[in-house]
Amino acid sequence: MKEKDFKTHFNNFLRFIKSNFNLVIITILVVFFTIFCGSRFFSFENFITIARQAAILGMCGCGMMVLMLTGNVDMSLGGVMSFTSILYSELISSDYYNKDPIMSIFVVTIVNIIYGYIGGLIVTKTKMNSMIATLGLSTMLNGFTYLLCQSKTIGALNSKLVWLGQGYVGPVPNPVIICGILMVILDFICKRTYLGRHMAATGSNSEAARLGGINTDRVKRIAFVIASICATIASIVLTYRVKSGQPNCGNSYQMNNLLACTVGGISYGFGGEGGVINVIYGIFIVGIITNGMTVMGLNQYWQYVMQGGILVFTVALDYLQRAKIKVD
Amino acid sequence: MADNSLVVNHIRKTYPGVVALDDVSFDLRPGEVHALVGENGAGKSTLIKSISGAIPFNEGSIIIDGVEYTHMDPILSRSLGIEVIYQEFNLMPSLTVAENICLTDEHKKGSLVDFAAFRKRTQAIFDEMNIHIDPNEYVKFLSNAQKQLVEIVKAIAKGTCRFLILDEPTAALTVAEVDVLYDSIKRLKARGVSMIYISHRLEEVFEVSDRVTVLRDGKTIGTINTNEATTQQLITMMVGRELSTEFPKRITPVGDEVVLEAKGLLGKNVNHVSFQLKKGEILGFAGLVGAGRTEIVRCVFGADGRLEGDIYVDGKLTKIKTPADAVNAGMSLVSEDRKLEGVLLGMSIKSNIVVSLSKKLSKYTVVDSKKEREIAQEYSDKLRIKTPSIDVPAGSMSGGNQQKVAMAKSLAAGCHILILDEPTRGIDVGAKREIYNLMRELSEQGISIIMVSSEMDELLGMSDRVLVVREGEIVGELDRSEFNQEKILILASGAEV
Repeated sequence: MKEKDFKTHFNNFLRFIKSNFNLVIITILVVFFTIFCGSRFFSFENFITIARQAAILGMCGCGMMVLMLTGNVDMSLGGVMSFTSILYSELISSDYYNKDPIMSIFVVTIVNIIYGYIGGLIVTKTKMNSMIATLGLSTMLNGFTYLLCQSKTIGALNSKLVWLGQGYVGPVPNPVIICGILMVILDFICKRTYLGRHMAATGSNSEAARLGGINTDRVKRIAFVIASICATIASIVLTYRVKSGQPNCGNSYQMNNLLACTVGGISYGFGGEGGVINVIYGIFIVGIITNGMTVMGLNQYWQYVMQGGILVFTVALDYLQRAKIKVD
Repeated sequence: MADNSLVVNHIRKTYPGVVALDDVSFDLRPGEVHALVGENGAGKSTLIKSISGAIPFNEGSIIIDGVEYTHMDPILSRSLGIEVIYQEFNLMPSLTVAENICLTDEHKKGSLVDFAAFRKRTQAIFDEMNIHIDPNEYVKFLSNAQKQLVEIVKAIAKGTCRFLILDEPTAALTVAEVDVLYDSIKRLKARGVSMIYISHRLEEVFEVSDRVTVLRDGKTIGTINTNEATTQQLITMMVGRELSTEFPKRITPVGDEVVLEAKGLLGKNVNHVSFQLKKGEILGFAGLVGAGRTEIVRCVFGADGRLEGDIYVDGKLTKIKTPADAVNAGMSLVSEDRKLEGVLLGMSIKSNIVVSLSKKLSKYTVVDSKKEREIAQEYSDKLRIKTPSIDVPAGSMSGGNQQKVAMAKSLAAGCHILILDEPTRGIDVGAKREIYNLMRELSEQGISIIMVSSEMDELLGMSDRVLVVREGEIVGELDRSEFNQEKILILASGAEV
C-alpha cells in the first residue's frame, strides 16, 4: 500500500517534471551557480540584475516568439535594435522636432514598421527562407547604422524619458515592468484574438490554413511587423539604460533572441506552438547562464561557446523528438 | 539456366485493412512487351514495386530464369537485371547526359572520374538506339521526351538490364514525342529486353504491346494477346467490378437552382472548363490519376492561379482569387492530402473546427472563446467525431476522424458548397460508410457537394451526376440514369470503341 502510494506520487512527480522541464533546468542552473559562487550569485541584488538584463531580451524575444509561432524567424531583430538605438539617439540629440523624445519614438516606430513590413513582403512574396532573408537584411541594416553614426557612439543622452531605462518602482527596475506590460499585451494577442489563432494556424500548417480561408501571407507580414515593433521598444529601453546610442548594442541580441525562444520550448521552423510563457522560461535560462558565468569570472567568450552550443543542442533535441513522433 | 523469363507467381500484398494485391500472376516472355492495364487503384503500382523490391510482398514468389525468389529487395532485383523507370524523372538536372547515364558505373582512372569514357560509352549506346542527343548537354536543357530516353538508356547502359518496367512513360510527353519513345521500345525489344508497360491509355497498349494483362481490385483478370483483343473487351475486363449496395439513397430530388457555375476556366492543367452545380446535388468528378480533377477544383477555389474564366455563386459573378474569397463566398475545400493540406495536426480538434471562423466570432478582434467552444462541440457531435474531448490534438486521431474534422471545419464556417477531394482516401470501411451517410445527409439539407474521386463505386454510388475529366478538360457529362463504369472509363481513357 505504502509502496503504491509512493509509486503514484513518483509518477505524478515525473509527469510534472516532463511538462515543466524548463523550471527544472532553471532550478539546476540556480543550484549550480549558487554552489560555485555562493552569495555573489544567490542574492537579491543579483537577481534584480538578472531580471533587468533579461527584460530587454524578453521584449524583443516576444517579437521573435510571435514570428516563430507563424513558422518564421527574424535574425535581423538585433540589427533593428542597433539601428533604432542610433536613429533614436540622433533624433533626440539633434534639432529635429525640438529634441522631442515622444515624437522621435513615433518616427523610429514608423520606420521599423515599414522595415518589418518589407521583410515580411520579401518572405511572403518570394517564399524564401525567412532566416536567410532576414540575415541579409540585418547586414544591410548594420551598414546603414554605421553610416548614420559614422561608427561613433552617441553618448550622454538626456531627456525626460530617461526613466524608461533607469528608474525603479519599489525594488523592481522599470525595464522589467515595461517588459511585463508588453508580455501581457502579446499574450492577449496570441491567446485571445483571432489574429493569434490565425498565426498559430499558419505556423501549424500554412497550406491548410490558407485553404481554410486565412490570408496566411498577411498574417505572416503582421507577425514581422509585430516583431519589429517589439525590437523597437527593446532598443529604446536599452538606449536609455546605457544612456547612449551604440551601433553594436543589438549584436548580442541577434542570436540570444533565437536562443531564448528555442530554449524556452518554441520549435524552430515548425510553428504553431508556444507563447509568452516560453519566452519567460527562455530569457531566464539565458540570463542566468550569462550572469552566472560573469559572476564566476569566466572570460566572456566562453559565453559564446555556451550559447552556440545550447542553441544547436536544443534545436537538435526538438528535431529528434519530432522524427520520433513521425515514426510512431 | 538463363532463359530470360520472369514469372510473377501468386503474389499477395496486404496493408492493414486493405488487400492491395490478391493472388496476382502473369509471366513475361523473353523479348516481349507486356502491357499492364487497370483502373485507378487496381494495384499496378503496388505490383511493379513488389517486382522491383521497393516494397516487400507477403505471399507468393517471383520466378526468374527458373529460380524462385520469395523475397525481393532493390539490390537483388537490380542484380537480376530488373530496372524500373518511374513516372517522375530521376535524373540530376545539373549534370550532363553522359554523367547521368554513367555515374553509377565504375569507369574510373584511379580515383578520378573518366569523363571521356563516359561520353564515348553514351555515344555508342545512342548510336545503336538511333537517339540524337548530345551526351555533353545538361539534362536540365532537355525536353521531356529526351529525358525519358535518357532514363531508358541509363537503365540499360550497364548491359545487365533484361527486364525493363515502364510506368506511364508517355504521361509527360506530347503526341509527336511519343513516336520517338515507341521507336526506342522497338529497338530495345530487338536487343532482347523484355518490358512491362503500364499505361492508362488503351491506344498505346495496342500500339506497343504483344500481350496485355488486366488487373482489377488487386486481382489478375486475365492475359490476352493484344492482336486478338478489342478495346471493348479490355474495358469489360477492367470494369467488371461488383458494386457494393451500401450507399445511402437520395430521398428528396435535386433542386433546379444553380448555386455554382464555372465558365471557361483556364489554368495549369485546366483547359476551358465550364460546369454547373445545383443546390443539394452531389457532383462527381471522374478521371484517371493526373487527369486534372484536383487542379480544376483548386482552380475554382482560387487555391492556384487562374488565367481566365468566371465563377458565379448563386447566379452572381463572384471574384475568387484566393481561398479566402472562396470561403467568404460560402465555399469550402477538403483537400485530398489530409496531412499536408487538410488538418492542423498539432492543434486541437476545437482549434481545427473553428479555424476559419475565429474572425467571425470575434468582437473588436477578441475571440469569444465560449462561443467558439460551443460551436466546436456542436459540430464535433453532429459529425459524430469519436474523441474523448475536443481538446485532443487532431494528429492523434484515425484518418476517418481527421476527415470528419476537416469536414466539420468546412461546415462550421457555414459553407453551402462543399468540395471534397478524395473524401475517403486512406480510411477504413466503417469510416467510409459514415462519410457517405454524412454526405447524403448534407446534400438532403441543401448543401451542394463536388466530389473528386478515383474510386468508381463511390462515384457511381454517391453522385447525382458525373463529369469525366481527361487532360484538364471535361470530356463528358453523365446523368445518374445513364452512367455506368464502362461509359466513365471509356471517356476517361479516351478509348474509341
